[in-house]
Amino acid sequence: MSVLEKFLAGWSFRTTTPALEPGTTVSVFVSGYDPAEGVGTALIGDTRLLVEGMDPDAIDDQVAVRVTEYDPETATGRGEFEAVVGDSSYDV
Amino acid sequence: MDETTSEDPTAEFEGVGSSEGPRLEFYGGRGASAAPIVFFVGWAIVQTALLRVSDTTGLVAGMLIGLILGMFLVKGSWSDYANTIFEGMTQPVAVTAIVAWMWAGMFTETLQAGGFVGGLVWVADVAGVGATAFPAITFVLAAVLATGIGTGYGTSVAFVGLFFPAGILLGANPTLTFGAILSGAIFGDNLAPVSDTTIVSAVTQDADIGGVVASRFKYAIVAAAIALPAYVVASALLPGLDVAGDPRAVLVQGANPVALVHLLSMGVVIVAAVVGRHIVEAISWGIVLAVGFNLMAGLSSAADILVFRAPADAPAADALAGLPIVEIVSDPSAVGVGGSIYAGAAGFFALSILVLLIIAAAQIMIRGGAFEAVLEWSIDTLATNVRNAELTMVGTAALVNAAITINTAAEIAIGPYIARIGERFNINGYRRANILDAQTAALGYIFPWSGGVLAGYSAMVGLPDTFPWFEAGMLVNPAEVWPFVFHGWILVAVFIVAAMTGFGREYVIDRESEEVARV
Repeated sequence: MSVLEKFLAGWSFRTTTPALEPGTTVSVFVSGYDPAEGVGTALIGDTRLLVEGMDPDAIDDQVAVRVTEYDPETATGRGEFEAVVGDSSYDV
Repeated sequence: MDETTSEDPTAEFEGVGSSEGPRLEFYGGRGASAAPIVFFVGWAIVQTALLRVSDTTGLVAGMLIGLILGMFLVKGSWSDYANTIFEGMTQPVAVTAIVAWMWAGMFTETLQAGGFVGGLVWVADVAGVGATAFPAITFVLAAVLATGIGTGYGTSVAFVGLFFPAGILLGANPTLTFGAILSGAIFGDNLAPVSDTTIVSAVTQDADIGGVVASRFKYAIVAAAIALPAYVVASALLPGLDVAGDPRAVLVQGANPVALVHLLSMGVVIVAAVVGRHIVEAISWGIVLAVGFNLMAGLSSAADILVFRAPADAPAADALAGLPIVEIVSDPSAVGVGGSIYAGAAGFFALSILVLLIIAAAQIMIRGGAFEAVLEWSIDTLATNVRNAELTMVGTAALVNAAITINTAAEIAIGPYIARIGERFNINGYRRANILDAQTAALGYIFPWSGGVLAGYSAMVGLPDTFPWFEAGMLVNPAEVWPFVFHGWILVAVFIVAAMTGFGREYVIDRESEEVARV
């Protein structure tokens, strides 16, 4: 990214429900886990990404998720856990 | 982000959560683990706001006492509590901030030793502005100085000493001129890569400083673009004082066009940081240039940059006395090392200790569960969606900074909260750092107990000694300037609008801040 591009990045109005592209891999912080369904939940803005195959201990970590489906009507997607790629700045 | 992926990702996976340190239990429940921080905030409000004592070492004393008092609330082993203090103090965030502060301090003091402000005074002089435009040009030039030297307090002091009396003689409204100076100080405190608050905002949100500077430019320039014409309009409406005197005489005494060469020193640091050079490298280049310009252009002596003041009976006193950086002094109390390099680093010593202790107290709060409790409450009641989350971040950062005079300390204390709320909605590090620092910079220069206002006012009370025509009645009451710090108020408003509309919002999936190792 050039210097000019860095200064020009973000000059836009970003939606509260960003779309996800099936087939791509995203790195996101996971904020919840549903033991009944066995899926984690990552919020990207108000978009919900359900993460399958995730260990519940990975809550609050940043994980790589391969997006498998996304419904723009409900702003909800599903994806498969790939790896933990980082952790929160401040574990609690 | 901490992108340090190990060869075996699952190895890191096993260590996640909060299992790395001991959980602390407190009498009174997990909320009691906030006692050291709460005590410190209370101390800071009493010391800095109610007693108006802007002494960072005083805050160190308050934090130390808070940590001692907190220990008596611990159930079971006190050694776990003590170890948690060490665990907090060894967090990379504190060390990173301290290193960056040292380098920034050396650079900014060297720029000031070279009389950078004199170059800006020369610009104001040759521009020949009248009373109506004077507060606006003062705002712009103060913003340039603050962006170069990174310290809004230093900018307030320098500009109150020269631009404020010149403005009075021109017929500009004194309160408005003071507000314009504070606005310029906010602009630079918010944007400069060598600003202590910029550094803290970046490291607490795991973002590189150069990227943070580039990404916050849009908010700063939007706010400034509104504040600038506002100063022109307000200046046309508000009356000045009728004082006989030559405003040029005030400006000319401090003007030096050669000092504008330091725009290059400042530009090198900004560009180097934004292109991704390590902040230590970027500022080091700035120091080398600034020292070179000072010496080659005669802007300062070598002794202004570094000097050894030795006693006459020192073994090598005679042999080294001829060096430009060695002075032989007869007064024992004058013995020591000095100069901009020394003063720049030393200026951050007290704050460095304070940040270590605040991070330690934050770690106590994390291990004791109070931080988690505050987060849970915030998520349940305030940060219910991304828009509300950003408004919560703006509001809490503003509230804490409005209450604590020394805004860097407030920023360190609220940094972890901003990080966790933002991470929950995958708001990237740049956006989080920008939300945090805008409120920190703005609210630190508005209220009568704010450090920036007090720094400027302390310089103002000395003006009658410098200018015979300056009367005590011309002093601006610190309690009256708050409505006129336009850039500060507009910057806060820009972020409220940005949170509501999504202007500038970036998610982690859009762009990740570069790794913390590069700060």
